[in-house]
Amino acid sequence: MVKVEILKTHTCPWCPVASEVVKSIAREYENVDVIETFLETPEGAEKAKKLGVTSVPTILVEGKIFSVGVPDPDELRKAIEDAVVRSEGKNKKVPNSFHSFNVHGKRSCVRCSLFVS
Amino acid sequence: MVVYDVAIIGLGPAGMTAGLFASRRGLKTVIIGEVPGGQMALAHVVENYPGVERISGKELTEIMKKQCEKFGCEIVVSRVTDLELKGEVKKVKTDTGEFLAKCVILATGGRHRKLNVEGEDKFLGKGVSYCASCDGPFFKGKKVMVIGGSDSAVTTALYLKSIGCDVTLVHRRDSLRAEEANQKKLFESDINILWDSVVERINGDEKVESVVIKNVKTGETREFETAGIFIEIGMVPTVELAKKSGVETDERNFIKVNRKLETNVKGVYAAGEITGCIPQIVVAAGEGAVAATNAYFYLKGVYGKKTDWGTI
Ligand SMILES: Cc1cc2nc3c(=O)[nH]c(=O)nc-3n(C[C@H](O)[C@H](O)[C@H](O)COP(=O)(O)OP(=O)(O)OC[C@H]3O[C@@H](n4cnc5c(N)ncnc54)[C@H](O)[C@@H]3O)c2cc1C
Repeated sequence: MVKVEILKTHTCPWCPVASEVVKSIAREYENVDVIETFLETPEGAEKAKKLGVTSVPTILVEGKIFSVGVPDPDELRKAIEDAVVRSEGKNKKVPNSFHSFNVHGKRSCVRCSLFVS
Repeated sequence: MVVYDVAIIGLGPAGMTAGLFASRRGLKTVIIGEVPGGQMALAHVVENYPGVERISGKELTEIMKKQCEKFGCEIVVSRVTDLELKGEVKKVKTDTGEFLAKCVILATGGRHRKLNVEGEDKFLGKGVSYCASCDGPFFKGKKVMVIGGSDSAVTTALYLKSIGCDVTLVHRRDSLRAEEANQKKLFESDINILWDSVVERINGDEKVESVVIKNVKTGETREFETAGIFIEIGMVPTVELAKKSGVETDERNFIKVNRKLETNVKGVYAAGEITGCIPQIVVAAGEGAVAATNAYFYLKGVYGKKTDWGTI
């Protein structure tokens, strides 16, 4: 499992956008776990302090800061795929990333099925 | 595939008001936008939207959104990646699919202007911020600087003060652009103000530690210790997509419109901050209403004909 964590607060307008982007990309893979951590909670505040996070949304991939702000979809896919290779070995086949609805329009992909009639 | 009467790009006050007016006219309407509320969602308190004495930008966003949806307007939260605006049917491509519409209203507003100084990019998320309502709480009890002299800068400084930050406002002139009402609040607070001052450099190791400020009148530079720097020096219009698809802009890079808020492309309107209007919610909303109403007249083919309001 690759862990992607969204550090967010309730007052930040970009946080729901970042969550949506991360979740929709995570759905393209079989083994990505998305966690949302609100920094207003004591555990969240502790985590922010430990990592030196002073902006939200901040996205962590495998516990390391990947981006501040809404992540770029393609860069996040790449980071996830790299993390899969790192954690499961070089020979592990990386699941296909469905680049966009326009490219393949697969019904099996959650994002595509919303738009394929 | 469904062909909408109107596709509105942008979910700020201009886009949502356009959605409200278009759907109340009975037009099949979709609003596609990335951040619900746009810049309005960043305003912690709004006190100049008529009819509502005091409300947060987030709450006002929720109300506007619900009001649109009540009249059948569809809202899609997604990023628009390309526009094809020539021809009778326009195409809007997004991260999640395509939309077709007879009319398009561009309401993509603005995004934060950068200072363009050393350290600004390096310390983004490590003390440099463009969103006080997002990041302010991390700086409670710490020294912060707010850069700018507009209403956004002053209200940001007041907000940061209210949550317990030690705030200094840095402005490049000797007077503020902000409304008198906001200035009064600022002067009554004990927020320090550095007049005639510009940021030269942001310093630090892992995170922001200090800022070098230059007085533009005396030429003197001084280093100030700070943990955070909130940049509120205005907006640059988000016009790239529109320009790429043939919409003309003026010399300041705002979309060129006439009184009906028509652009140079037939069936394409623009509203809100991208037209260079006064950057306030009520003005953006007003432009949204004007653009949607004129889009309605265009779609109904009543341009040039007599109506209750005279010849349109
Ligand atoms: C901190 C702060 C405080 C403020 N306080 C006040 C106040 O008290 N009173 C007041 O009247 N005004 C205030 N303002 C100003 C006000 O918020 C703006 O003038 C107003 O929001 C402009 O509206 P708009 O709809 O034109 O654009 P915006 O609000 O900028 O909205 C633009 C929309 O377009 C979307 N968009 C852009 N590009 C794309 C794309 N490619 N795909 C999809 N969507 C896209 C954005 O996500 C957003 O939804 C404040 C602004 C700030 C920053």
